[in-house]
Amino acid sequence: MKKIICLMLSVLLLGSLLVGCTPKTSSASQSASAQSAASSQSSQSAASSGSDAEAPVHLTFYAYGFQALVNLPGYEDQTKNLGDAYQLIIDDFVKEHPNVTIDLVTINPAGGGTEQMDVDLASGETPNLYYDSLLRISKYNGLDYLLNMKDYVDPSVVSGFTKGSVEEDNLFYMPTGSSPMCLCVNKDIFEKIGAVDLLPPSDDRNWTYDQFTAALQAVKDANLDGVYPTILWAANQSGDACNMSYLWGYGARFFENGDYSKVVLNSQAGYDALSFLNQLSADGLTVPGAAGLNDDDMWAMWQGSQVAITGGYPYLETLAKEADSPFVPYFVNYPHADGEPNPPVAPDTHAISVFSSDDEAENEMACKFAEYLVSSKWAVVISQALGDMTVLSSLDGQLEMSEEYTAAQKIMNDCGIISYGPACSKWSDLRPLYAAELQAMFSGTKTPQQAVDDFTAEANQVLAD
Amino acid sequence: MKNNPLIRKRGLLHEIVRQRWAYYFLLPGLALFLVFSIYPVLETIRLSFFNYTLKKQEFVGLSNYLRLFQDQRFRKVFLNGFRYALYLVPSVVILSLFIANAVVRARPAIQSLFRGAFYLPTVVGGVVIAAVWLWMYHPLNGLFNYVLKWFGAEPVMWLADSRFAMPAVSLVVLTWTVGTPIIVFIAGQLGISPELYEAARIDGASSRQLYFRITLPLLKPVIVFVVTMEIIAVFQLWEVVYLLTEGGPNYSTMSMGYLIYNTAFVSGKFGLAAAQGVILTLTILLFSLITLKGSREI
Repeated sequence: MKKIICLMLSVLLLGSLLVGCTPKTSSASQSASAQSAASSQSSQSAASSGSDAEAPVHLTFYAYGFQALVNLPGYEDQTKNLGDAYQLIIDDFVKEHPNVTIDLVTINPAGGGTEQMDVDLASGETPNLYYDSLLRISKYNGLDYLLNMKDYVDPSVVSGFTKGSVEEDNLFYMPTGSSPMCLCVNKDIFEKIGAVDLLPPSDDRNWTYDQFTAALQAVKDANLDGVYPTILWAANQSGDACNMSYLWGYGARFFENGDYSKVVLNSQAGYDALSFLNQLSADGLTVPGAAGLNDDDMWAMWQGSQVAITGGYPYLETLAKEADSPFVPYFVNYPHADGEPNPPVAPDTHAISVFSSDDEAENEMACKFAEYLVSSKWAVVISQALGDMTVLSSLDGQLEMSEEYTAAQKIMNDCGIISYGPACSKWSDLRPLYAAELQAMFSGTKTPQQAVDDFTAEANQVLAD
Repeated sequence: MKNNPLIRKRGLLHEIVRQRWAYYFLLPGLALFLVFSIYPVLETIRLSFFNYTLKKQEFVGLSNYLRLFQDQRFRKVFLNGFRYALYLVPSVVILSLFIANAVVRARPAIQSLFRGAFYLPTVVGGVVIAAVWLWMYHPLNGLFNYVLKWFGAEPVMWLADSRFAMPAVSLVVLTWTVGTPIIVFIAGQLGISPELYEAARIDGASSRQLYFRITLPLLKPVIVFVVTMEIIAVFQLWEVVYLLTEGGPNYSTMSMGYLIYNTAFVSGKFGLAAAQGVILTLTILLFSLITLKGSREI
């Protein structure tokens, strides 16, 4: 009897352990598996008829946790946390498609990387939808994860995108909007020191490196307590496009003519551009310690009126207005060398992508959601919050744009867009390499030329792998 | 006869059969150990022979290992592990022995207070500790540069200058990890029989002699344990490096643990990361064995 009880107890212990290790089966996943069987039978007919039928479809939506989407104007009560904005959009979409359930996973923005996605992908958790900056999306296109949405999306939507804002033949992303990367000036500081005339005029907001340096020097000479002319940073890769944009004015490029197989920064223009940045730091025209600063320092110092000029997106205007002591922002283009044209603008595109699924019903419904996101009022709401310009003709005029916002858009329209690298599928591997070399330069370990050469060699090694 | 291996083996089997009920009850724990400890190790070894990325898995034999040995960056990071060990293991052991010796003489209430105080950073965790130190090391608003400014010195890029970065990171790790060895050494010292000290005192031993002739020799097993644990922890450093420097500047603070994370989850090269993991495991194993063997010979 004793033996039987002991045997039963040990079996019970082992059994309870196995039960504990069994995967969770929620009602959502049950319905997903039920629909999976149903949809696999009906997908053929559904696809051919073009109808999304009434079969239940379960999708997973990964979305980057942009801080700017917290407290969305007009929806403050419903968007107090990261990810709440996406849930609002999902709820709206699901009202129109009651057969669809969408699980939202908000990606932690700390670190600015794709680790969370990669871990999930490696463990077999492939999402259906992914909303993020194109900086990160392109990596998954390179890995052949993303669906070409061309055959799933209404052609009128595709043709409505601003030329160059999408790749029409390989529609692996659809943008909700794009932010132009500009320099933003704290105009109050320049008025205080009587140096507004050193800034480019409002009808042509371009300037040379010499004019830019003269403006910084004026701020330095004014010696205002706790105010620095500008800020550069290289502690990590976050916000790197702000520093990269100083390259274009010298004619330096990471890639040549859209050939993403080889980095070509090791040119005289590349050396000159990095030498310029190094000189700014050496001359005390930047916040001291660029090698140890990061973009968080920039956001905080900008909002605290501690820097007169910084690189960034139009979101800087929102920060200026929301600062404890609000101030007037003034957008200008990045400088250019004498004899070089006005530099093109690096856009930060926010877009949605669909991960290819074996289940055709999921692909169809995911594309439907993507189309809804980019063409509904939500594209406008999101763009407004992120400081983007909408790039879909049907949304023209719906975005409320301030004078400075419009000026930034005009700079982008006049000077054109530079496709500097984010469309390269290994861009996320190259960014930390560039940040590391910039840091080595700012800390005095390497000369600008060494930093450029070492980055080029390492980047090309990564691209060749 | 007792030394005959066959008889010993039979004896062991007999013992297992005799105690089978105890083993039945151990089964759940053993299953967890197999699934969550042994299987990942074996799978890591298997993966190290594959070019395993997010999309493909292709057998490549030893080429991951060959690539690592040719990679200058990997060699630098591998050596960083030894540099961290050189900075941290002696300092943690000496500091914790010193503190433990001071605390163990105090009254029980004071002892508890100090034990709690020194163990607090361990409880708080590396992330919080790193966040606080990040502020102290900040080039512009940090405490250290603020103090330097009083003396008219130039600000120091504590975490961005390769001359200072590793000592700066090591100092953070030291404050974070010193709590556990202190507790272990206090427990070890309290476990030494007071009669030994009394007898030595009667024989006229000084406090210094008591410590070096009684305390330290009797603490040897504890010291070996702490040294082994520290070596393992130091080679696996991750979160503090990630939060303070991300391995920079120029890989000067990159630890093996952080490199493995980067290779796997940033670059998506899981096979290569597995090979790095195997090399790390073998290194730790080797050093642990050397420590244990060395301690037997002292």
